[in-house]
Amino acid sequence: MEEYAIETEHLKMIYPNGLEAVKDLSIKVKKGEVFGFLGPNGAGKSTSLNMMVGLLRPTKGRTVIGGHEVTPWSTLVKEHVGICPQETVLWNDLTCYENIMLLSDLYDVPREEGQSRAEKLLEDMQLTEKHDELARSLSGGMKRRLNLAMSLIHNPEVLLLDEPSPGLDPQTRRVLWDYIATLPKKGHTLVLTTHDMDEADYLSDRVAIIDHGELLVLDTPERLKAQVGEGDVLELAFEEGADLQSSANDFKTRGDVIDAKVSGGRVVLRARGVMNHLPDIIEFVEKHGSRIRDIRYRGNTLEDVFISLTGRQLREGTPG
Amino acid sequence: MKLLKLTVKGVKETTRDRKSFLFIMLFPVMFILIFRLAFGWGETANETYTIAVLDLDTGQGPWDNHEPSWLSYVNMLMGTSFNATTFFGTVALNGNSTAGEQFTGHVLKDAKYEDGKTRIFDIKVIDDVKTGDDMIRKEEVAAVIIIPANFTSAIQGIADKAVVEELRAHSRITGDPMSGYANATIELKGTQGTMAYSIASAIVRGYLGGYAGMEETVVRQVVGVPLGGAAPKEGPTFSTENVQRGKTSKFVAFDWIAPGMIVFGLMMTTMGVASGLVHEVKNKTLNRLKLTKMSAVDMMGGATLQWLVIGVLQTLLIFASALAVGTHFAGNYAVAIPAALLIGVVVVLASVALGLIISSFVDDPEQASNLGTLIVVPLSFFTGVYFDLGLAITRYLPWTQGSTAMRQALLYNNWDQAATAAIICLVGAVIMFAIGVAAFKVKRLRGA
Repeated sequence: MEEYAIETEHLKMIYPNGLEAVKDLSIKVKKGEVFGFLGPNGAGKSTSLNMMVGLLRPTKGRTVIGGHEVTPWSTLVKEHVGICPQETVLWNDLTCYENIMLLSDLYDVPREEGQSRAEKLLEDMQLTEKHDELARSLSGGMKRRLNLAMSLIHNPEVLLLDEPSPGLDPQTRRVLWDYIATLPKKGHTLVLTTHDMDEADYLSDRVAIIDHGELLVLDTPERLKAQVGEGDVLELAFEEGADLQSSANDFKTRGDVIDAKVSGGRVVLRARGVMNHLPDIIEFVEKHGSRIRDIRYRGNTLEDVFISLTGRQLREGTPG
Repeated sequence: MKLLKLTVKGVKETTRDRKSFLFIMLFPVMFILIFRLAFGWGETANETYTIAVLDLDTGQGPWDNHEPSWLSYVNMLMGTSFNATTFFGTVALNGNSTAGEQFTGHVLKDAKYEDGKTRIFDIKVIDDVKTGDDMIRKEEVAAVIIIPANFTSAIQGIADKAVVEELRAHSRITGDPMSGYANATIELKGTQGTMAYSIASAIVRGYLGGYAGMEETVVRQVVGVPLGGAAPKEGPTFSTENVQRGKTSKFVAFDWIAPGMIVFGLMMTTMGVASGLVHEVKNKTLNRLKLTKMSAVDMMGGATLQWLVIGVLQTLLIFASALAVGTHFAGNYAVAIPAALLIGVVVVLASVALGLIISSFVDDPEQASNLGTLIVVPLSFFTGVYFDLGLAITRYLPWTQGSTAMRQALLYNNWDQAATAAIICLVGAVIMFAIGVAAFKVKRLRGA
């Protein structure tokens, strides 16, 4: 039995305008795992995903799914892969049930089985009450859940989730995440792209951080966070006019600070037991002629991993 | 079957989008009402059109005083002496007259509506072109007909040609010993785009075709039957009945428009197809469909069948609306309605094809709809949906032929001509459909 659901070898994508969206991507996605692509907008996540399932022909390299090489729009992909697109792609003038059943019929799912799966998916997505309502009447969160249900109707071995929860309220997002987290137990392998560090952290067994089309690191979220270093994080916002880089350099001279960087208009400090040093830190800043406007405290996140790798925050995006 | 699933899905979407659906269904009905009002709501009487005739024909009487050029061949080949005067003694319009005199002085002058009383034309004979132009300018006449000097020769040429074909068909001759037939063009003048001119000129064209066909029929009867050929459908009697133009009980200007309005309503399918498909592209639902096991045939077949279903509903609705506002269609409706539906289906196929072509190149549904309107509305004029403009460039377009077929079926019960036009319409529609499918497949369905 194959250990990997998806293997990519040296995938590369250069668009006609010369943009090198993906550079030499080689990864192996294990069967039954949730594999996350984390990176800012424009990092090459969706391009990688589309090449992996044959929706885009790579400039170079190849992808193997279930032991078979992927060719664009192949039957292999249509049969074994489900894709939950970033946008909610629904037929607004069909009911929830009709939306799912249309795809069921077009995927050649036997009628009775399709009906039974459609009912179960509506129940799982907490949409049973909306069974006969037109998709256009659903809220944003409901539409997104229906969007996911539609990509699962043919029971695909591999499910691709392209930014599954942007713009959702925390409650809806959690419902969606909880459901997604159950899918590997049902035999699905998941590949998700996101620029949301919490989403990647919560859902992924392994995370690939990608930036400028380049795979920076690939590991479990825990190991990645541990790689950033020990200690907690303080984010300091200064009064207007402060020289942030100079302040960060000043902090680096302190023995109790492991690291100090400027990111997102703040100075980000990493230190063991940082809260115990807070009065000293405020005094230190004031001695250097600056004033702190806001202080945030948190543990290590995947964002810190990204910052440590790129010097930028995830939400800053990728220029160009 | 996936194709049918997609058809059902399309019909559901179209009918549930009530605003768009009402627009598609009611827009042509609104046009029917508007045109009916424009042509006089209460007008139910047959209208007589005043036309001016300038007869420049210098030919000799076609039968009595002129020995047909083919006579000696017929005599020789048939081994008998053929006496044209004796034979054509049964012909009502023989005599010492030119073809021009026969056509204008008898055929057009004697033409009556189905009621047998009302004349279609009131003929004013004029002596020069300028008088005709003045009459047009003063709106004294619907049209001016100028019969050319060689009109008789041309009509005789038609007869000569028919003789040659009959003799050839019965292996009596090879080649064409009487080649060099005259061509004549009757000039129809009037204010283009006015209803009176459009109708009067269309009727004159119809009668001209009937007149020439009559001459040909007579000759085929004379020559072909003795040689063993089947008798033509029409007898050799030359009368206006044999070039009957319409079979409606009454005929008002609006009656001429109504069949074209059905075609116009069906042409609007173009906008529906184009905006619907582009909507699928823009909303990325087309990508979702492409990821399934659906084929390109399923996709485009589903869309086509969807609009054919809607087209049938439209045809019935427009037909009923036209009747409701007093249109006079000819013959038995049990025959006319299925015929209209059949022609309508072919017209819809052509319109779907145009929609496919538009949707292959436009990325916004609104743009697709606007572009569709921009193409369809002028096209409806150029293809003679309202007025027969007689444009050569649009003559073989499916909508031109569809309008002709619809008129021949609903106004004349002329099934031969209706079928011919419908077949040409079908051929055009199939060609356009092939182009539309190829364009959409290449531009939108790669991978499906």
